Amino acid sequence: MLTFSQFIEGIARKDLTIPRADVERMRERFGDKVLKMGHLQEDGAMLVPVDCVLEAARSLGPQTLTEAAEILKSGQMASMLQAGEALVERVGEARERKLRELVREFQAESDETEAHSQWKQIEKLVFGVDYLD
Amino acid sequence: MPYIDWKRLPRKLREHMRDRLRTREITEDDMLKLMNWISTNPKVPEGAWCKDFGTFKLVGYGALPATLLTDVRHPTTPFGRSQPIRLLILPVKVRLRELAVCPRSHIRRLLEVTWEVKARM
Repeated sequence: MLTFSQFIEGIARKDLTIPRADVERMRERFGDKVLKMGHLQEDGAMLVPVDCVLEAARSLGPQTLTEAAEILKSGQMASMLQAGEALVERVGEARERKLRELVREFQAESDETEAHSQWKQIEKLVFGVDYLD
Repeated sequence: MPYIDWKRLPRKLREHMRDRLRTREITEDDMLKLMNWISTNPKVPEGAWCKDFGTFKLVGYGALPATLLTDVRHPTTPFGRSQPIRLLILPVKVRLRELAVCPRSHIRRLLEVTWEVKARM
């Protein structure tokens, strides 16, 4: 069971790391749509933005979310497959939505300092790298 | 075939992209295409390559993304015909310095050479 502090620690991070083995298992099950969730690292792990996971989780009902969690753990039942797939799709969609919103804010921003900070977020989301400049 | 090393994305390239996106010369949809392409962890040829995203093209050399083209939509072939740049198929070896960020004359020369060589093949 996740403690409150572990939960807060988890959502305070910018990215969640999905280990390589889990990424491979999810790709076998759901295909390449898994790749839309985040950035693959050199070691095969994937970094997924926490806010996109939260948005996706909120968009699914509690029942579906519980089923999705079961699927992502080890569930094999075909009837449950849809829930896991829905979560994967929603995370990818949330990530795309986040980029669109950031780009629109960036293009409409009149303050250059604020625009620079928005651009850094866009860079991180698109390239998966925090460029130090 | 190498994977692109996004950590080595030149600062000038990123600044160029930022400026073009800010003025909407690069569209939101094409940034999305770029993000989704990067997410697939694409492999690229050892030599020069070019990937078209619509309002811009990313040009690289092996694992190194080198420059961004926003105004060379259809390079002209030696025969005067206008052709789109193909994806990841530049068949000539070029020196890395020719792909250093910017000098567009180098990039244009590279593309013309490419099409000329391709026409002979």
